Amino acid sequence: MRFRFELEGQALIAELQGELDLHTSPEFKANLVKLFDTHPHIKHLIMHVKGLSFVDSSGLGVILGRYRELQQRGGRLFFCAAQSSDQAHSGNVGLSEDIGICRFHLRSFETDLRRRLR
Amino acid sequence: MTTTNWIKLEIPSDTRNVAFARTAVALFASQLDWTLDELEDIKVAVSEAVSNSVIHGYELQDGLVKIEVSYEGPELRVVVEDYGRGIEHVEQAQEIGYTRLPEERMGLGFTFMHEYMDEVLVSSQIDQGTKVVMIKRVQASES
Repeated sequence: MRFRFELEGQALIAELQGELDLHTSPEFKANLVKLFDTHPHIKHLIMHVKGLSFVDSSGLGVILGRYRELQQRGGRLFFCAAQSSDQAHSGNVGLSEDIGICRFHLRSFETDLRRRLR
Repeated sequence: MTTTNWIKLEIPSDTRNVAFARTAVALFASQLDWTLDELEDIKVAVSEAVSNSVIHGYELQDGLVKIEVSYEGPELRVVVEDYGRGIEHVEQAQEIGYTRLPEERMGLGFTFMHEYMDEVLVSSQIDQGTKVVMIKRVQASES
């Protein structure tokens, strides 16, 4: 399991690679909790999950735990799973008002999102 | 070629071994004709059952987790067994959102097992251990 974090305005961008399970989710959670604590202005979490090959209930627990935190901060959670650089935009499918799922090309999505979240 | 086969695995209760267990079971199960989604379902269900043994059965202490996987025709059977603390209220434990550790857990482990397998049977005795039997059948293809 590898993850990388980046702060951009009010958004925390997390890129995940590997499997999120009982063994790997505690470290991911600890990192997220620390970042949320030290950066109270974080409102949105953008998770790049293209490289994430497995999630079970422990991984989901970490994600939903942060989702609750985002809700309290009035922010949104985005799952980003771009398939390839030349893939046409297939739209931003809203799962609910504050969870977004996107299949945009990563870069153009990010550019757009960063602009909106600034 | 016979239409039955089986494997048995014994692993120490260790969070690192959960990934091995689900991958090994999926690899064996792939001898049957599943869709990729169904194989993922099996991986999640096994991951949940083994995780339960590690976190709840042995409370992250040493212990042995036994996994037996077999199939007969299109019916896959996965048995995950531990000899840990056991579950006091087996029915309640399988309810959506039930967990002993509400601060850190979602209580979705059994929910996922029920969701992704055709049958889930749980038997448990306090301080003796827990046995989870999960069955999933290959759907007859239309072609």
